[in-house]
Amino acid sequence: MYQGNEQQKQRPIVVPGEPVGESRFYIPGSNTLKISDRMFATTVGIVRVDGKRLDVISLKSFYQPKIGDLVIGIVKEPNIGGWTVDINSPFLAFLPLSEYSEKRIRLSRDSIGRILEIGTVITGVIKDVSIFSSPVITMKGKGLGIVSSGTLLNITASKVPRIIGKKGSMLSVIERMTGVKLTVGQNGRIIVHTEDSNIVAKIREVIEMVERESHIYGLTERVEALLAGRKL
Amino acid sequence: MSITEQRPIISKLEKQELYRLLAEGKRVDGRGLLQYRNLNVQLNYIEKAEGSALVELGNTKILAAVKVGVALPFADTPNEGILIVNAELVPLASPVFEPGPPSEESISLARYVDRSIRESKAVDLSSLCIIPGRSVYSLYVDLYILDYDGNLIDASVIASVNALGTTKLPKYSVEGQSIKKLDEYFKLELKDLPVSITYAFFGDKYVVDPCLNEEYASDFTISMTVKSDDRFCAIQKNGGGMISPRGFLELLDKSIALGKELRSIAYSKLSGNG
Amino acid sequence: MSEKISLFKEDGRRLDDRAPDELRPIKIKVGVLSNAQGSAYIEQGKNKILAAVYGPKEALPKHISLPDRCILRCRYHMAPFSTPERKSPAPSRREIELSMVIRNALEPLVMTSLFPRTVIDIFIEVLQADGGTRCAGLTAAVLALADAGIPLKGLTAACAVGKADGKVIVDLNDLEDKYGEADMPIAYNPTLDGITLLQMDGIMSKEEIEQALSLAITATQKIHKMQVEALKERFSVPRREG
Repeated sequence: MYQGNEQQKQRPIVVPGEPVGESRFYIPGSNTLKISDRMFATTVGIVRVDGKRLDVISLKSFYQPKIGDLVIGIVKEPNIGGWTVDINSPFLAFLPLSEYSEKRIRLSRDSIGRILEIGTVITGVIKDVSIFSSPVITMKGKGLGIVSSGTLLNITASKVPRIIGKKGSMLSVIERMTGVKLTVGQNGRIIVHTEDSNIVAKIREVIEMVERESHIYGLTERVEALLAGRKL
Repeated sequence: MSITEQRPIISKLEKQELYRLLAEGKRVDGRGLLQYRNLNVQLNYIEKAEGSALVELGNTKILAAVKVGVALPFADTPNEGILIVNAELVPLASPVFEPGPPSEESISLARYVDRSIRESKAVDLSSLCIIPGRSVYSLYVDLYILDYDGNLIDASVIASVNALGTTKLPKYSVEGQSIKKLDEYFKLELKDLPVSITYAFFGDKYVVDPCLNEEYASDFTISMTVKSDDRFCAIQKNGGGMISPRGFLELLDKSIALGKELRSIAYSKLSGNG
Repeated sequence: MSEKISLFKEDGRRLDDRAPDELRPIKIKVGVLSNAQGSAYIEQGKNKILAAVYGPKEALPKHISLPDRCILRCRYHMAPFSTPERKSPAPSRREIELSMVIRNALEPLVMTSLFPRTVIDIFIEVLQADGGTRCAGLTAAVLALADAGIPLKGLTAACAVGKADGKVIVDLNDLEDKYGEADMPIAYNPTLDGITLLQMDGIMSKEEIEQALSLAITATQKIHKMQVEALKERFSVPRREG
């Protein structure tokens, strides 16, 4: 069983088809497959047990939109009644005109293409997900809108919880030690609210470390050391 | 690029009926699980071809014709004749057959039939050499699918072998390096009578000779070609799904028994065809 | 088969010095391409094959998509310089068939119902061919899918078995494929105990097929172990100095 064993420095990696537990002890969670009474991993990942639930946390994955997720999108195409937005997912999202802003828009003056140009970076929240149509996003809400400055970085979607940390702990370490605010989208995009290339380079290093080492214990300490310029 | 095929939707009730009957060892058209549909073979259907046969397996209708020519042999087989199998899924046979370049289905069908004939050595290619390295007979087997009700593979093998069995080749006189066609013919002698047996799988159940609806509802099919001496010369799984090693081995004995039975019916007219 | 050549040496070993049930040396590396979501490279004997996966992504044009699951698109292709004689880069009938049987072998592996209306592209490029390329290519493609983070029902490994000079052998090289009596490529998923690719070409009796199948299961289990190692290697962290 792959229970959190604090003595181990590195959590064991499981691969698709590898047995991870028996279903009489655990409830199969994400990225697991139950065959009769055995449970197998379906992705490369690490096993996490939370009470009776057993999940495999993928070491590499793509973003699957969920309602309420904060995402960072790139406007791809103006369309009838809204915009198609790339959200780094198998699906393109749709931002309807009605979700653009609280204010009324007069289309006669502002053509859709002019309000949001192709390539514009926006922050939005997933409002609706359906198997029949594109996920819908909204820009209505506090802190949402067009991002016109800062730096855009990427991280594997499954590592987003690690860059945020428990109750935002990792994120606050990064923000405190760099003095820069970050917006982290659940879809694996991060906006660093600075254009200072030295700070951005440091944060890039942090992201690489999280992507590479998130399954090794003491990640926060290592990130702190990295940002402080210390060797661990 | 090979793309996941879009199968027509079979209604849930039809599917349920199919599975319900399978559990009782029955099929929608009243056949047993290991029973072939009625087979009808008509030899020498196309007079302009050197050999031909029209085969009806239930509602599946396939015309096979052999055209004979003389060609340069392949460099690595200078003493052997050339055999080429081609399959046309003629658009009039089914709404799912579309005009245009050969589909992967037609290519894989032709290649399977080719393997069945070539590997069984039904045609002795070394007997089709006129001048080594220079002139050999070429046999083009063209399969024309005229009506599509499933199990193209088994019907195509039967049609091709029958067409080859009726094939008459012109004789050539050889003078030095040149050849001259004579007004005499000889019959192509078949060294083996291969038959293909195709199974369609539904969970842990399977049937032989699936009709189209059964093919659409099935998880996958497996075809095996058996030679006259009960050895195998071609096998292919088509479609997704998977079979356990034990499930696969179980098919071998079945195919040998079914092969004997089918062979005696499928090629019964050839012996009388002088 | 115009001339008869012997595929065994006097000591009973094969021309490349292998025992009948011995695999060629295999080298696998996962995550070898920068643009693909997932990729893998395999060397098996003189075979050198790359596999790459793109997706899942929205299936366009829309009419190719399926409402309840993801579709797969697969291309098996041989480079013009991969064979002794230059091969035309246009897809041959053989390549079209192999693209299909490889796709058929991957369909039951991918948990396609998790991503309706999307498509996964799988590319297999044979850089150098030495017999058994469809199997080695499939072994690599499975790893490219896992590398891409696509949920899979286990890993499938593939290997050809067959017959040469009357003996049942495993992992045929080009010579044995050409001059041997039979070639039976098999892909096997040990998690599900399922054969997902099965072809045979040549002549074998029932008993020989039984024997060959059992060799194939053992061989694919060995290759499966190498797949697992290669995947773990890809995602494990190199020891940091200091």
